[in-house]
Amino acid sequence: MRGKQTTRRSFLRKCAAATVAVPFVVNAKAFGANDRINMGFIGMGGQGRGDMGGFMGFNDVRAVAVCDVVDNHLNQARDQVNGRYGNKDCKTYKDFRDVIARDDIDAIFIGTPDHWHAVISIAAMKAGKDIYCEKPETLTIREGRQMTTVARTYGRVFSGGSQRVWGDYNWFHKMVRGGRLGEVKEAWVNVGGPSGACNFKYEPTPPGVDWDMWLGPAPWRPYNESLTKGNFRPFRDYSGGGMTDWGCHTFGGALFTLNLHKTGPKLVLPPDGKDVERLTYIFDNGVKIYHGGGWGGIVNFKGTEGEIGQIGDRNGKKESPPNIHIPNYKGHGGIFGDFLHCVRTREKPFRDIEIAHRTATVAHLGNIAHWLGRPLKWDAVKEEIIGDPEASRWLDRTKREPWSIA
Amino acid sequence: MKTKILFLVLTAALAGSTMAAVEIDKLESSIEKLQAYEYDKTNGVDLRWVESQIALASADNSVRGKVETKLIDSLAKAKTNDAKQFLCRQLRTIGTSQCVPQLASMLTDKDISHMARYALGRIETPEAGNALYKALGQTSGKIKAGIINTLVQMEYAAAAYDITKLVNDCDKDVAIAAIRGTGRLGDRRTVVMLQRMRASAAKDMQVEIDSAILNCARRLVEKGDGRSAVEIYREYYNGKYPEHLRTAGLRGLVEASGPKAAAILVEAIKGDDPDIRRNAIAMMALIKDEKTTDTFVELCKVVPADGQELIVRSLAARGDVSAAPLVIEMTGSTQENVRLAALEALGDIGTPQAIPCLAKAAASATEREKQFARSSLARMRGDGIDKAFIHRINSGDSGSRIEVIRAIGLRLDCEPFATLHEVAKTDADDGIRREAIISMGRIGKPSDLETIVKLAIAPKSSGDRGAIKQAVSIVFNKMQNKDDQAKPVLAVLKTGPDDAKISLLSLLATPATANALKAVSAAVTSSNSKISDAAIRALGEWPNPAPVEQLYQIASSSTNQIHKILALRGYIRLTPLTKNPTACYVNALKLANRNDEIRQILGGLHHAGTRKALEIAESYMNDQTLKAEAYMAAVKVSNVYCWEDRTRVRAMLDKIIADAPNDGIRNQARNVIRKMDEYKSVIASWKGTKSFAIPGVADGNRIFETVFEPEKDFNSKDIVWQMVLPEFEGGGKLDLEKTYGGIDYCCAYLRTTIHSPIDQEARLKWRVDDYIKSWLNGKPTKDGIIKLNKGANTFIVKVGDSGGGWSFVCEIVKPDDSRLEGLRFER
Repeated sequence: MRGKQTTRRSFLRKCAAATVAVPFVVNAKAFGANDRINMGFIGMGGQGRGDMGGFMGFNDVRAVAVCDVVDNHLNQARDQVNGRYGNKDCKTYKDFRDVIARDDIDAIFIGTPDHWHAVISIAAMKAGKDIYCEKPETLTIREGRQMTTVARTYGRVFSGGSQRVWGDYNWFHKMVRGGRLGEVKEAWVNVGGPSGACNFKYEPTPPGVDWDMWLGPAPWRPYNESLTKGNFRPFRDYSGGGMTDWGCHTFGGALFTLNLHKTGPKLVLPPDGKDVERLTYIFDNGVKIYHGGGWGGIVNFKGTEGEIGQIGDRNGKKESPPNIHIPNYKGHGGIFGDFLHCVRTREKPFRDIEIAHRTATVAHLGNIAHWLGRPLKWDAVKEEIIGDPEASRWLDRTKREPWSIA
Repeated sequence: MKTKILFLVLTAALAGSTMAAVEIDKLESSIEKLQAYEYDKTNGVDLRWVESQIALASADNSVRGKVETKLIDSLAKAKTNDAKQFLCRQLRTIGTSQCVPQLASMLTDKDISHMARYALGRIETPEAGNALYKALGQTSGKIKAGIINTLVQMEYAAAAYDITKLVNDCDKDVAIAAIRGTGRLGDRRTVVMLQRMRASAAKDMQVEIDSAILNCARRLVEKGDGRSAVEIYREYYNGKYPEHLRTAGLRGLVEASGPKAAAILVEAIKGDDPDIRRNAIAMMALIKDEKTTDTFVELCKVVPADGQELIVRSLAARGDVSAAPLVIEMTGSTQENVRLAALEALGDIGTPQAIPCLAKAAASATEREKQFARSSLARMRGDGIDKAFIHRINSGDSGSRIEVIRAIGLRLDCEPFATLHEVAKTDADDGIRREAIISMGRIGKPSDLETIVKLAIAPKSSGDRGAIKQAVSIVFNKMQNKDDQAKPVLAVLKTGPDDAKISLLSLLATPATANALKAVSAAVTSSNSKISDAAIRALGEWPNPAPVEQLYQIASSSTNQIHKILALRGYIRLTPLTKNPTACYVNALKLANRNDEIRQILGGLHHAGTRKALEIAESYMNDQTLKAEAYMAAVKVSNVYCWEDRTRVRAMLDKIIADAPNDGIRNQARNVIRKMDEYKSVIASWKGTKSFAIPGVADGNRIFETVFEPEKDFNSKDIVWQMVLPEFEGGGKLDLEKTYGGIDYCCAYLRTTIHSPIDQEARLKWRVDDYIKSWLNGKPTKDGIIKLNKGANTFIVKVGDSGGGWSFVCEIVKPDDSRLEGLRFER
């Protein structure tokens, strides 16, 4: 049965061979009724199911597979898909490798905890799939570089999952890039702090949870229900804490606003209780981004000619931004639509993996500086910590067997 | 100056002089205690403190060896795997070759092998690699796969041969690890071996083999054997492989083919495979020399429109301005998508020659094209661009000149200020003059404020004053000092013509300094009625309630009817900013003679949200001309007041549903009732402090257990209590993120007053995400049975967040869980 299905790619090839009248680069308008983007969804907790609902809202997307290591999540996701399509066709999987192995799937959604993102996305890209991966896209800096390399090698479309960088923060982008604040030299990003050790007690693993697969590449530890219910972010083995959670949105927003989203800081100074009040990033052009502080919500910018926060200026006045176009999502339908458009055109999406990796790197460097309690010098071109080999150890982690991203 | 300080701090910190000292005795004792560590049983040791101390020690040679020795010793004596795990993690941070033997001894233990690798894999000494290599022959299955992975991660070349021998291992995990390893460590011969193996491999193993071959090819390029790599890539590109492998082959070919790369790409773009075409266009950015640009430009001219769109974007990504003439040409395409791509691309690779074309599009194209063109005008950078903009201020048609001037305002180059000033004073075209004035504001510095304000004294046309006010407001935004903002405006008010005074008075509401208030107050008595009108209007726009009294006086005692109306309007507008909005609305009501004034009062009553406010609304419900507004006001006040007096509000809402003049109001009343029913026992009337966090701490529990200032004295006058929005999340809890924003790892204190008609027992129930504790009448209390005094009871909760959502709900019911009537809650 599988062999008879027409996938997007085979359809395109048939068109190209059959007639010279097809457009040079096929776009959405040229797709026929049978041509749709088949997606497999991996990681079906609350966020994953929410995102899946968003993707299923597109007529040209078909959810054909769901995967999770927790039965409860998996069954809810299956019911959601079958309910949407009014049938019982949705296939369920507990091992992501079985989803990736399906030839009829064009793109993979990843909504697992962060420690799985690199392993799954790299395996999927090597198998020819395009990727939409929830943020934080990476657990370590080396993972991000490797994910980018693989995406480029195979020409895969990889969109990270921060809808806020453009969706929530475009007022800041327009205000700053439109010049309303003059030259901006300081920004404050108010997100949570770093992750740390997990000391949750032993609990018996309940039926319906594949705990070994939940842990995957992370160090083994006994089951604790809290971790499978979304409370994994404060713990280093699975996430970078608030720094990478909201940080991947909000550092991303600040970096994009300041046009620093394709580079990185040169210095990262952790708070020392004396001269450095809060974690501070210093960039080559002299811009400083602080972790915490500011006065107006989750992000603030201060320029030579004004300052803004989430509520507008300090008086709460939120003026209309300059009417300029800043290149952002392609296609229609926000960040999901951007991804789907790029799956068709092979362009880079707004939250391309390189941008996602650079953003996550800023958050990871902040974590490393916090954990070690000392300043870091960062070479943003080579992506190396300068002169501190012990700090450099945190650029990567050794994964639990048999997982690797080589 | 601040940067200099930070650099000094950094230098000192890197030298170790400002770093905190390691508490070595306590650390050693803690490490020893952890020999018996099990999850959740730390023997009184703070794990995060130990981690931070070890991190400090890793950069302090005076203690590093001692700490490492203690860790090794404890690891050898550790009684549990949990302890071994924790100690391995610490050796990963601080370990040297000294700890390798101890870690090596654990590599064959299936329960702890990974944690030994976790440390060894990041200790970059030959001993670590040697230990892993030695263990390779002593292990099998997943453990062996893990060791291969770590050797590969460490690029341990001496293991290449042994790893290659394992590519056909009967254990699939080992075979996959070995294939991946050969890709990282192998050579040309490895590729041949892998290619042979691929022919008979299963599909999932082919994926691994292809990846390994492509990795080998990359290594060959890095080692200077591009020729061999090109053969490999050509095989993938030309062979019968899936699209992603053909794409990988093409990319490799392009990267390894030097000067021939452009021809390869052009051939691919002209080829008959649309997938390859699209990927090939995306690869154009890989080749950056100018000669290649010419090739791509020629290609762009002969492909269909949808290909042109992508090629133009790729040309922009390449950043070579020599493609600009083609892209300018493409702005005239018959296809909108091509025109848009071209207009956007000029923001990246535009030259001075692109300015007229962009300006024309910004002035006269479709709305979408206008946006794209304006963005590019503001974004384009490069040699001669700024000067070209100045040159274009005075040339071209009116629409194009306006666009150029607007772009200058967004480009923040201050040089054209004088030219714009001249245009603002003299140009015959109203549109151009006004755009120039606004751009003066945009690029003007605080020191330019006076120049802009003075334009208001004798503008070429009185209609320019609107633009002047806008420009002044923009410059105000760039200034911190309110007196400096007010100064030039006050000067014109003293000596300028009346028309200028009328125009500028309202600007003083922005700085709102004492002098500004004095000047505006004085202007109220001007003999020129237009000035006094403008002054009263300005008072009504004040950002704080300072002019409230004066406005009340004018509204109540002026003999000028217009002044009375303007003043009362301003007074009502400022009422929500006052300490007692209810009293102000009552005052306003006494002065209100006109229906529009009463409507304004009714529209603001919910800011008071009190019983009296509800009564005011009710008093107009039978007035046929104000009925709709009164009913709506009653609903809006109920929506706020319902959490304080459910009985009264419920009666009001029932009345509204029965008698409301339209269904819209009726439905809104039903919504309030629905909310009251849904949260019938819930306390929703809260005032809260600001949120508290500890910089750099991502431990919600630790933050929650920290005693912040309010907890030391809840009655302190220094605490600012603000309304907590009664917004509920999906689970029925009060969503604190609606009040405090999406922040993590923090806590806040919330208070309410519970009015009980009698002394009575009640049951306090709560649900929380993530932490909660409470105080009733100053004493700590928990959920369960509580004692309420007759009259007012002060109830305070502390709610903490450890990431993700932040919400809680407190309910008060009878001890038997049935509903407790008669309570009233007051913020």
